[in-house]
Amino acid sequence: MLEHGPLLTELLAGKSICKITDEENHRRLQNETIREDINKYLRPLNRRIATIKNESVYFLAYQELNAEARNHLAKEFDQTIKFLLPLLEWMQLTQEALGDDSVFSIEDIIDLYKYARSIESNQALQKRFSKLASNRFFNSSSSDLQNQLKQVFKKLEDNNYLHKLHKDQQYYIITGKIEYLIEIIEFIKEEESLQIEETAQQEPMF
Amino acid sequence: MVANKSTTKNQSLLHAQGVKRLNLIGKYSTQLMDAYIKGFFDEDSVSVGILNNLVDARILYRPDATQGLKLRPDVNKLIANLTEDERKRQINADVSSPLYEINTLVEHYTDAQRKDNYIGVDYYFYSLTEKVHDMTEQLSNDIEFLWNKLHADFGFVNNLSDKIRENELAQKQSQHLLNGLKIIDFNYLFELTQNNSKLRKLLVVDLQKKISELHSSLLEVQERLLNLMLVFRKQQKRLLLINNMVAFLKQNPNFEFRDYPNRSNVPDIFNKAASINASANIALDRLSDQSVLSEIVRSLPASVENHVEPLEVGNDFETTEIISVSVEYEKLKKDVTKFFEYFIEQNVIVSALVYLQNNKLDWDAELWLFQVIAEYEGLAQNFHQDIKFEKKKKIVSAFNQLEIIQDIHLIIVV
Repeated sequence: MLEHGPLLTELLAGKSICKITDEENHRRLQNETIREDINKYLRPLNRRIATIKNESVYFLAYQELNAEARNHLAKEFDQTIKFLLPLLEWMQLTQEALGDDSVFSIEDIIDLYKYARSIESNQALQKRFSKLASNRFFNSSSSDLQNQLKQVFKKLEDNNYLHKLHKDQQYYIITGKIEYLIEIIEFIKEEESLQIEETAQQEPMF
Repeated sequence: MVANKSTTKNQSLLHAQGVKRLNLIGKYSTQLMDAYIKGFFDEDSVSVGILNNLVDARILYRPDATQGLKLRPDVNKLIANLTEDERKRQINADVSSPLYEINTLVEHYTDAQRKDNYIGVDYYFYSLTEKVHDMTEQLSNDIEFLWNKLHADFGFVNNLSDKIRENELAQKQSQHLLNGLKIIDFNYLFELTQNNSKLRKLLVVDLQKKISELHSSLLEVQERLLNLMLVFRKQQKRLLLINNMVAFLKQNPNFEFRDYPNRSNVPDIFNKAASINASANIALDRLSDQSVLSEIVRSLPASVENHVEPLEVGNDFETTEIISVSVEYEKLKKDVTKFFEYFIEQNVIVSALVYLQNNKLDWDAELWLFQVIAEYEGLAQNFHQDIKFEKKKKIVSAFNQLEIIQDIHLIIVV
């Protein structure tokens, strides 16, 4: 158990463990025996290890859903719903800007320079991006595109949706938290039996 | 023999013509490449004579009178292959026609053998070797071309629907190649060779080895294509999901979601627990840690007496704060020293907490006990033998043997 100390601390601090931000600990959590050991330890704390379908991310869930737990979960859910649209809009915009369709899986890389160039060169995209940057989630008050870009990416990094491999580089890697977000919308779509058409048209690119 | 002479003559004619036409391609490579990219040949870029030469050489052609000159499909293919231009490269392998030719050549060969025409035997064997080589080489190129597409992740088209279409095409092509390989009937070829060991080595042994290699490479490429297709489909589904959800949320800004956190079964994705801070405090209940901790205590802010005049220019607020902390600490130290003086005079067990209360000292109990311990630790070792210093502990957690010092009892034991 001793060697899992740092991992436990991370988990208890509310971190999501994915292979992009913490490869070694993610590998440990893929081992069922280790998960069982940690779960034994977590039981008195009313916690257990949980994951999503593709196991790209691990986090702590409540073992027993008492009133206090439900109270916390309700607050979390409100937050998730509140910031769902700006995050999804950012993903949509990014896909349109980069013209590359493979940017929304864990490990995909976004080149900030390429992204900036592409937004700059397209008035419609730039307008949409500025509007998005001023959203409560990204919270940029600047009218300068460079500052807006900086703020949006910083916010995404702070919230662990993106991970910067080297401090001074322009490359961002998508983390497991995006997978988590995708699973949330998949679930909501199923549960609410949202009548969203499978063939709905994308917003026009230009 | 006459037939062989004419064959040689034909070959030299062919050679001369080929060289001439290849030269033509070389000489007008710039204009031809422009035509490859633009899709039509700029007829003003060369003289009418050259234009006619290029048409006669089967390099350019005019599909119909209303259209401009274009590269012949074969030339287009040649350039695509030379430049590894995956958009235009095509799968060419046709196995049945070379097989017919091989069949015919074998008949020529055995015929020549029967007539003791040795030059003919050599010539037809050479042609056969070349034909077999051409066929396997073509197949091998086509398979390599599929591998290239795969390795490039279909990066030569840049949207997902195109990638999916390209992948579908590549899968069809691989199936086509696979069907082609199945046409090669080694039993038939075996019979065809009629116990001629040279022919059998060429048409059965070597060819079978080569075809089996190509076959496994092809099966692998097919499997990889299929896997990549699954990835493409997953991405496509994901994009559609994102786009549709955005559209839905925009159209229904006040949509009431179900109360997932209060369901009897909360899905894991909505069951992300609150964080727990694994904080730690100084604990003096473990003997082995005590020396380290007393080191830390000794390195705490120095006394007021040692304090030098604060710098004239500086942050007033910070210095006052440090001074006030030091002053407080000095007071605490003095009170603890007084407590020790008091206890040395007593001949009974003295409780540090009771002393604190009786003397109405305004120290936090924990801080007080902490300083009493520090003072005791700071005493010379020979004093330690004379004092019975007892920590009254209480176990607070069964899980990690955490104990809290509730009080300290002291008595002189001499």
